Amino acid sequence: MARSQSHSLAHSVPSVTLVCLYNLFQSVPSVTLVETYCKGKNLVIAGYYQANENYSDNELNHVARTIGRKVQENFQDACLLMVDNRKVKVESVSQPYKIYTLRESGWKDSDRKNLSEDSISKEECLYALLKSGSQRQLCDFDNHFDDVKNDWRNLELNDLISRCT
Amino acid sequence: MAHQVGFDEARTTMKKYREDQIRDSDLIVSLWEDVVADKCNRLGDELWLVYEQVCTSALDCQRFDIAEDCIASLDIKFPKSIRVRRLQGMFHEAKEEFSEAEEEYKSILEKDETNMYARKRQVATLKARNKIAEAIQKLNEYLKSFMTDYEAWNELCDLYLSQHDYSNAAFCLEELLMSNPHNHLFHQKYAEIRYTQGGNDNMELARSYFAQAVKLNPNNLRALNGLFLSASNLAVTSSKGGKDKQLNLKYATWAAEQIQIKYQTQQPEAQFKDTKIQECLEKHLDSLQSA
Repeated sequence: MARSQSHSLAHSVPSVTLVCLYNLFQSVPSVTLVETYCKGKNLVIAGYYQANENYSDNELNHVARTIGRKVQENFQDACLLMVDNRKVKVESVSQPYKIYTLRESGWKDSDRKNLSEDSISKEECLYALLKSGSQRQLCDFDNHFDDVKNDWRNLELNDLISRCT
Repeated sequence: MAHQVGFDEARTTMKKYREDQIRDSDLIVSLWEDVVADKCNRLGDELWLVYEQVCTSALDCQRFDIAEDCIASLDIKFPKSIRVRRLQGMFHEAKEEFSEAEEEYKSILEKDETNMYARKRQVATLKARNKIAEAIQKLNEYLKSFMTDYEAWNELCDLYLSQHDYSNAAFCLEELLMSNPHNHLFHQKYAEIRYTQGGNDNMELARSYFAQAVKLNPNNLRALNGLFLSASNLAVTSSKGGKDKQLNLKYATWAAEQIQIKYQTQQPEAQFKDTKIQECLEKHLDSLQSA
């Protein structure tokens, strides 16, 4: 997740999907590419999101904590987003992730404020996008390394999301 | 999603996905519901394979209604079939009814103890319940009887990786490499594990296996990345002296060139320039020179 350095908005700008499962080695070149790209756009990596393979498993694991710490070294207010698989359905999406921030004692679940109007409209937008199958257009680094034409910046999709929200 | 697709196109797509073992469950369920289901009598004998395919896809998408219908139809056509009972077991698994699933697989094995599918589903059931250590043990037992099942060796490797047990994961890959010495993906994966383990010897092994993967498939970008990173790592950390450093620098430079050529020739120019691959590679090589 990248954020513009000069802004202090609470919202994040586009995120990049790295790799799926077990291919963690390839996250090394992926993150390097993302970092170089971010520097050029005056962006900074502000957080990390993860969805676990196991449907019922929405706990932070060692990988998430380690990567989160690395992100936090470069951006103090870094946060981790853990996707709750059970809450992601085409017919309804509600608070599909938990946010964690780094405190002295480790990564802690941060209090979610009550659903604002803004959050509700975002969820409605998310529902519309899922319904239309937009997620099928998403390119991650796995897709990218299979064929470099697959653009991990997902410019069209991010544009669609910005117009929606 | 699939409304605009015609029946023949849907049928061909589903057949291709069966043959190539592509797992795009969302699409299969959509093709079935929107296009094929109403005209399924046109499928002939292919219908039964399609039912099986749609069933497993529906389970992936939590569409238990569709899965149940498929199993019912298959059960009528093939009563007491072990293959259908396996689907029933998977249905229970998808609904997280793990005891019922286990019962189903046990009774399949009582009837046919050589049924590898039921044994593998037992491992899957343990994995789904996050009982990874038991899944590993069960899979090891399975492999004692079915040691040529390369899919199972790969799965065991992934289970070990999830537990950060890199030595055992490497062992699994070694088994795969022995039986599939020309598979560039296995060389690449083995190299990645060795790289992750770290240390000079492992890094040199990683570099060799990445190089072999590139030799077997020059289009393997992941292997090129790996060759670049492992050679770079050795150029900086190797204690074998200046000549070794120079050699590794040469390997890293070569890999970087190959990566750049690939990006430059296969990516649109705007994308190549905006994502700054060249800058990234040059910066990395410069830091090696000065290290």
